[in-house]
Amino acid sequence: MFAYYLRLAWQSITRNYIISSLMVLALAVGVGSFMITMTVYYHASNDPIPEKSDRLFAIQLDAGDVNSEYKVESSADLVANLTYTDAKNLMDEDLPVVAKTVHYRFGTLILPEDKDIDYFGAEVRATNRSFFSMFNADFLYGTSWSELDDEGKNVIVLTQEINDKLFGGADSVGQTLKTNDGNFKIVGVIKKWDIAIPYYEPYPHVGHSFAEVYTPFNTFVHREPFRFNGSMNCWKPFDRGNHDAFLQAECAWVGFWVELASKDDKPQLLESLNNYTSNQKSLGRFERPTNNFATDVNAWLKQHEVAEGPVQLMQSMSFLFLLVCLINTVGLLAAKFLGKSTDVSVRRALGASQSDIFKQNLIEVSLIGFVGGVAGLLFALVGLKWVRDLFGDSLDRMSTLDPTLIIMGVVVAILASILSGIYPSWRAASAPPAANLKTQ
Amino acid sequence: MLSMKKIEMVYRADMVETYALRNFNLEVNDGEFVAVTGPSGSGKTTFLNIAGLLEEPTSGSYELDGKSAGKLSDKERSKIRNEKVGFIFQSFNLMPDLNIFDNVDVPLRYRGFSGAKRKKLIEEALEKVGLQSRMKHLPSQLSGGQQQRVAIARALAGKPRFLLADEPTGNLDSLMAQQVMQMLEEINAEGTTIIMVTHDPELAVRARRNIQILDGSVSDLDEMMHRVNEKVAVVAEEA
Repeated sequence: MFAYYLRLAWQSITRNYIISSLMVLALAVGVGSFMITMTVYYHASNDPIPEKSDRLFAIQLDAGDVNSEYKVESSADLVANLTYTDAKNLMDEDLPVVAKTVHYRFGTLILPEDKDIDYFGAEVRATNRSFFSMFNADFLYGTSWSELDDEGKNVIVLTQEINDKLFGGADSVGQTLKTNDGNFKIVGVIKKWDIAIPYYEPYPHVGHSFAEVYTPFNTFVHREPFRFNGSMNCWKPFDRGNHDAFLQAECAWVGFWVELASKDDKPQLLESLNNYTSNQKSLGRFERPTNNFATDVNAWLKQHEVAEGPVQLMQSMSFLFLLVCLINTVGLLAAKFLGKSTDVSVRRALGASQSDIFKQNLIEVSLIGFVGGVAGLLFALVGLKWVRDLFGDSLDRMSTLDPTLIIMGVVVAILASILSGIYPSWRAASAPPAANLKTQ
Repeated sequence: MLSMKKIEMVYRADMVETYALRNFNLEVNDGEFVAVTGPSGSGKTTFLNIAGLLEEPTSGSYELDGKSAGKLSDKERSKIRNEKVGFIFQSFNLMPDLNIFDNVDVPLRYRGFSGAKRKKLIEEALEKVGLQSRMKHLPSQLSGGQQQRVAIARALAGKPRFLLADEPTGNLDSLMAQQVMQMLEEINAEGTTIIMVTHDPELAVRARRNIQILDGSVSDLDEMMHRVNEKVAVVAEEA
């Protein structure tokens, strides 16, 4: 009977194609807009590195001002980065970890050799070589710089996008990249990174820009004038004209992550951090109570409410919009089934039970839902492209439909249409069978 | 075959109660061809709807084929309708989007027959009404008489024991009406019980039995005529 109902559904849809198109359109617009925000929410709430998210930890230490009255009850109450002093010390410290990395970012100007390409600005992440392996950045060409390079050499790693732009996608390893900060030897090109937001940032959020080139931390940290993009928090005065004084100052601006062999090693890690801050206390630092935190990737994203706030608000609003579209669909379906009341009465007279009619109608609304879902996905694709055009590369990965989202979109549309079709289908099926047999 | 006792059908709307049938009693035997006449609003269609299990009476008992039709679920009523009753309507009530074959197929689909069996039954039914060559036509491509013949084929395809026809010739000209009537007579001759509501006295007299519904109650015209004839004979004898 399913195939028979499906055939009847298709005939009914094509017979009243105007009303059917309106329903498909209502569902498509509702599902499409829901899918646009769902896509952003999905990427924002997705585990960006499931294979090791429970072993990567962001480190926070409470080195703040003893005179400040802030209370620290959780890691969310502390600044998200470390002072240069602590970052440098912890890099040298023997911590129970398999890898650790420091990083910060700033902007530079890329000066292409090719005269046909205009110079352009790029985000630089200053970090150390373990950054790439810790956050699973795969290399398309070359590899990370060496340990020796980490000491401050002019080497650089490009993203695939920059490499495509400057070298047409060819292997550029060994070539020189000119910037307004000097010439850099290209040592590697990382593949397009399949993450939606740079979650390792001290303050990650939806729409956060990605770095486009990577250089050793020590290459730029001692350069003057010092350049820095991001959040910097200082709580003690220092000689602002003196760069060494700045580096020694109580200013938090360096991101610090560690990778553990096992998530169970976290207590040992915290113990090591506590030992470190105890030693620092004896040097007159860390005057506040000990508040050291190691936060794994997903807790880090939750702490920064990446999938909350505006993302959740947008999600709620699009859900309400979907509801409005569904209510419209209910009205249209009711009108459509009312128009089929003679057909229903005749079928009832010829032996169809209420459940037969109900099933037939529900298959019809499911088919409308399926078509509406596919149209909704097309609508979402157009909408997401518009989002990308509007916000640029920073939302590139946030606005990509993957197979899970595509299936989800169709399922949402079918479920939504079934939900909106239950009442009109039931009404049509429960009409007295003799009601419309006298007229046609 | 059909037995209705003390059937009452009351339609309630707000504070108003309308009696469509009142103390309605009728027995129809297997193989009968009963013509039901009566003025508009007398309750003919209500009777037909109850007989065909499309409506439930407010009170009274109704037995179809020896089984009580009271307190049946919708599924059970639908099954009986599908297997034992065939309907023919004044306005044909064919599905405009379905071709002739698919129209006749409708009741068989709910019967759960296999595709091959349905095809055989449909072809047989359409052959009986002389429309096997029009199987792929849409109803709109046929004349009124042909459409009613398709409706008859649809009613007969599942080989019901009981045919209910509500003004089957009401929308046809007299020639086509005669053809349809002749077809019904043939069907009845093959053993199918027929109850036909009609306004046309010429067609009504062609049925084996005539009943009239007046104000929701039955007057059996044949029985009345029989009594009248008996009285006339007695009077003649006395004279």
